[in-house]
Amino acid sequence: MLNYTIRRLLGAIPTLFIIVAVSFFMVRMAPGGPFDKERKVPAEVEAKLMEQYHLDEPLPQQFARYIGNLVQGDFGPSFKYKDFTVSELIWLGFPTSLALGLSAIAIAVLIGVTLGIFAALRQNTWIDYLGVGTAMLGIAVPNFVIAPIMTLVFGLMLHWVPVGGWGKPSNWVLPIIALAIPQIAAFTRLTRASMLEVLRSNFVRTARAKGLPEYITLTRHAIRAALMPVVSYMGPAIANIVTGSVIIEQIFGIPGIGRYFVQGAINRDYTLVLGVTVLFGALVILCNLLADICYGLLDPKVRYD
Amino acid sequence: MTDLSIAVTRPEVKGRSLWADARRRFMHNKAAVVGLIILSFVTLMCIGAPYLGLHDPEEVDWSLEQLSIPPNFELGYYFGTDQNGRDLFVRTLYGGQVSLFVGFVATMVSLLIGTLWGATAGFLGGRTDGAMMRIVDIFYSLPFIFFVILLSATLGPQARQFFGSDMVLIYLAIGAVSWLDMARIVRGQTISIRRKEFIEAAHASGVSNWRIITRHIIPNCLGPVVVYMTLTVPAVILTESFLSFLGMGVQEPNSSWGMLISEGAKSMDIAPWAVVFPSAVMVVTLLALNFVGDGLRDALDPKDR
Repeated sequence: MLNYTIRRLLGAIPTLFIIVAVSFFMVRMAPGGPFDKERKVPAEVEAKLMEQYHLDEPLPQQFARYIGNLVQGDFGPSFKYKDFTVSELIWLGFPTSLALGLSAIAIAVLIGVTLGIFAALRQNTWIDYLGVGTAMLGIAVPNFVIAPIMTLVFGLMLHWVPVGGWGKPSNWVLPIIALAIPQIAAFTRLTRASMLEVLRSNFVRTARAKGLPEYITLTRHAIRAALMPVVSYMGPAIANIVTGSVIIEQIFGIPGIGRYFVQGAINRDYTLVLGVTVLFGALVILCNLLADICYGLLDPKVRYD
Repeated sequence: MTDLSIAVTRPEVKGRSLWADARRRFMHNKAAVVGLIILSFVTLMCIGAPYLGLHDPEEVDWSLEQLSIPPNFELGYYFGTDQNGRDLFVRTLYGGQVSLFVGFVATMVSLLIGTLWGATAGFLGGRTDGAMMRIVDIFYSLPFIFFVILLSATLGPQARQFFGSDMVLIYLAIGAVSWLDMARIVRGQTISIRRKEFIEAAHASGVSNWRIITRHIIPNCLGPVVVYMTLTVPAVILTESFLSFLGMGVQEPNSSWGMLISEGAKSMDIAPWAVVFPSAVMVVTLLALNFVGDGLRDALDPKDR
């Protein structure tokens, strides 16, 4: 197991390197420099600026410098917010984004798994149809439709939650729900399908045949096995939540890194966009890794050594 | 002699082909058939929009007492008008043309890359296969949506000049993102089919390679590929809408569903219909596509007999 973990950790390094390399060169190949948008600056000032940001060096050297700084946790200066480094901006936004994402994923797992299990146990009843309906709707109704519609209904029409602003606990309700709904759908679908399969399997039949009470059969045998696909979906789910947060933070005006990313892309704040892409990439890789390791620990059928 | 002559003159038993079977099963699936009808209707309406005698999508109606009016059947504004006084119904149809077309073309791009990649890997096997699929694995763990955003933010203006349209970049970017699953599916199919007993049996009974490929390998590969294609289209439409919602996809004067929803969401407190109708049309279309995809999967899955 330890072997496997170390191997996977080492395997993540080239992937991360590819992310950094691809995004770095993509950003650098973009037409127009970061200072183009402002009032035309005198040539010597621009040269000075270029020199200050090391943009006058050849590309490979810039890349090496970026990697070197990155290893030390330095994402470089922001081109747009002159008084901040990218690391500072990320630290400003990250706690908010993290809290938002974690709440959404917790709610998604809780509701999705419960709904999925009950849908499978009571197949072809109203709760099953509720589960299947949720799963279907979650696929077809994206975040950016859910969010405005929920604001319209619960904010503007029913006045249950404030429409704009940020800071009060009630401001968190809609973003978290809007972020969670597609993942609730995914978890419901996954749990239901895997639970249905497990319930038909031999070991559940054996447990029942030897006279175990139904709730022990379910909790100790069926549900445990049925949750395995859920564990392995955690990685992609977190990646989806991260992607969704970009939209949700934009819609609700939440000061998180997702918003910085979009603003950065629009403002051509290349270092900021680059930094956030690298950070998100690392996050997604890490989550996939953790999900895989958990899977290995939990599933007795998996042997890595 | 008589027995033989009877046997010879007996009319040949008409076998049911795989596709006839699949069609029969598909037609028995109510959700899939309804989905197909809705999908055809939406597609026809979008394509036929210029010939329906509706308002011009760019025309601003200055005769209205306010620019943005709710649905009004007498004036022919079935979905009302947007904040610029343009007919929302016809804009939704024109937006649908773009969204559906992007969905179709990007799916073709992903089909082309994915099938070639997957079939090559599966057919060659060995180290080549290992290396090719490792690349897919690495790509898989990248947060691709950020690359798409990076791509359209940094190279968008250049691509617009180069191709004369901002759409090409979107097809390429989204298609390049969604070929990974297709490659995995095609590879898996190729490998599993190549070693199946019925292929061996066909070989043994002297069937030519060409006939084996056309009668056995292609039909068996095609099922999952077709199913996956129908499920890629809604995913692509979602990605395009996601980008357009953020202002990084389709640019004015073109419009797409994501753009209409984004515009509608901005004025939702005074004109809720501007976000509700485009959202509803998009959600219904995506649902229909998913139902058709699920129906096809059930119809084409040979395990289900």
